[in-house]
This record gives sequence, structure tokens and C-alpha cells, in this order.
Amino acid sequence: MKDSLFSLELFIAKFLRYGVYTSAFFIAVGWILISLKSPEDWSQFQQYHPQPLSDVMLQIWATQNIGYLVSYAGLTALILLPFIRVLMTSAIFIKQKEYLMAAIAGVVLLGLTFSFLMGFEL
Amino acid sequence: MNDIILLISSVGAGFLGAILGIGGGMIIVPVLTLWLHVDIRYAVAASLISIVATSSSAAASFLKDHLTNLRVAILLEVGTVFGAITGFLISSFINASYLYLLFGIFLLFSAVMMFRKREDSLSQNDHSWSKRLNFASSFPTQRGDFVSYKVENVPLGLGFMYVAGILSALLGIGSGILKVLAMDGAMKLPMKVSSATSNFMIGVTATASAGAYFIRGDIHPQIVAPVAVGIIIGSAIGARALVKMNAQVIRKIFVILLTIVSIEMMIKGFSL
Repeated sequence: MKDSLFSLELFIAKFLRYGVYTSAFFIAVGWILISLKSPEDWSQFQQYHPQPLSDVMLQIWATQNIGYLVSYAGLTALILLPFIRVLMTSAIFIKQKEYLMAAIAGVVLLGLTFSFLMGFEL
Repeated sequence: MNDIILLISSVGAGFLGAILGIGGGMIIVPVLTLWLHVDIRYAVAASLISIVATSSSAAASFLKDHLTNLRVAILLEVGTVFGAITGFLISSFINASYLYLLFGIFLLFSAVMMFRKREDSLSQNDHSWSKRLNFASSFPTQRGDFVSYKVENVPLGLGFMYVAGILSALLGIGSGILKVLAMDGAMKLPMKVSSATSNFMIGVTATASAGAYFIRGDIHPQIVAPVAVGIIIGSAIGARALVKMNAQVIRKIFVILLTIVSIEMMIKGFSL
């Protein structure tokens, strides 16, 4: 049972590797597009100005800055990768009727979901 | 120009990270804050994204070596994820100067830990949780045979992971040093198993707080892109160069650098 779990996890891990390369490609392309369109302004990062992602998105939509859209799509995919890994691991445990381990993976998933939601609240 | 400096520094951070078995966060946060004068909260968020990238892309190689204990990793991820939530909450209220001070203290602690002689243990006592969750396993040796091990002090390990999660979210680090300390120190896992399992878990820990920072709007492509791309390239080169380099000498130089940077971070913390 442990071996089949191992080979399935290995499959997921390889999927993750390609996922990282794909999202890094999007992030890099977006970055190049941003750099071409607007001059670098690092002074804006010297002070902390909290601005929710939803506001940033509306702003990007208004200015039609494709570079930002592409890089944010890459970032979203990258952040979701570990979440997908845990989700798939819990599915494997369920398939193998290891319900206690599946429940523990479920708690990790709940924790991850909760932490993402906290970004909206605070 | 700053983005090119950051890209080159990140390649260096990824390279050193792969050689020394540490994440790039310990290097990239000081580069961003002390050198490029970026606010520490943006630096922490950018660093967490790069940790998600390197950990997720390396997971396959850790698994292939048959050293990662998946079942232990899943349970301990409960501790790190809830720790990361707590860390994110604290970060919303804490003053930036305390973050610098905490970072400086953590770097000093890391410098000391890098000289720690890790004791390789092989426990024969199985904790009741370990029995229940079937944690006992085996790992391959260089001779080609398998050595069996059991797992002690699971609740204590889980507690350590909670602290590791808090620090990861607050400081933008993988907390690998703390995770390893919990696994081979408290839970008595064999050294190679604890290193591999820690590396495997780091991506999930980092994504918990990275996701929250992302939605809060602390992640900016202009900072994150050069960091993430640079670290991915650097760690790929580092993993190939690993066999040809004398890691011990690099480690000693790095510990000196770490000590200097930790003092600089603390000075910056006091001056804010």
C-alpha cells in the first residue's frame, strides 16, 4: 500500500515541477511586459501601502496593463500548486481507505483555505 | 537597474541555497531590505513566493530518493499551516522594527545551528500516534539495504512545527532549520529522513501565508518576478554544482556573512 502511495505522490510531484516552470514562465513574461510599458519606480516599495488585490485588479483592468494580468495569473497558479498537491494526496488516501490520514490532509486543506480567506479580511 | 541587481542576487541566493541546503529567504530578505531599501513586508511576501516555487519544483527529487516520510509530512503540515495563519495575523499588527529585530535574531540562531553537530538517531520507541498513523518506515543506505526507524514525541514535533509556521509567515523564510531540529531532535527521525521531509513540507507552509499576503495585495510582480525567476535558475545551477564544490568551506564563509547581516538587520530594527 505504501508503494502505490509513493508512486502516485511521485506523479503529483512531477506534475508540480512542470506547474512551477509554467507559472514561472508567465510571471517572467508579465514582468518583461511591465518593464517595457512602464519605467521602473522602486521608490513606491520603500513605504508600505496596503492595497487589496481586488483594488489592484480593478486598476489593472482600467489601465489595460497586460503585463500585470499575465504575471498575476502566473502567481495565482504558483500559489495554488501546493494546495493541489495536498488535495490530490487526500484523494489518494481516500482511495486507499485510509480515512484518518485523509481527514488529516483535509484539516491541512481547511487551514490553507482559511489562511487565503484571511487575506480578504485583514 | 534595481530589478537586474535583484535578479542576479536571487540567482546567487538560489545557488547558495541549493549548495547549503537552506532556502533563499535568509538571503533575499536582507538583500531587498538592506540593499534595495524595500519595505520588509513586501520583502517577506516576495521571499515566500520564491520558497513555494523552489520547494514545489524540488519535491519530485526528494521523493525519488525514498527518504521523505509522506505520512509524517502530512501530519506536521497541520502544525505549520496553523502556525502560518498565526504568523500572518501577528504580521498585521506588528511594527516593522520588531520584524527586523526578529529577523536578526533568527539569522544569528541559524548561524549557530549551521555549526551544530547533528546526531543521527534511530529510535526503537514508537509513539502511540505514530503507531496509530503507521509512521514507522525505512530508508535506503549507501550500501543499498534499508534501515527501519520509528517515530517518537509526535505532539512535541507538532508544537515545534507550529512555531516554525509562525516564523515562516512573519519573516518570509522556509524555517527548514527549525523543522529539522524538531524532526531529528524531538521526534528522533534519522537525519536524512528529517532533511528530506522538511524540504518536502516547506512549500505547503509557505503557500499558506503567501496566499494571504497575495490577496492582501502585498505581492508585487516587479519585486517577485526577478526573485522567483532568479532563485529557480540559481537553485537549478546549484544542484548541479553541488557535487563539484566544497560545501564545508562555503558553509564557514556563509556563517560569517550571516552573522554580519544579522547585526545589520538588528541595527536597522533599532533605528526605525
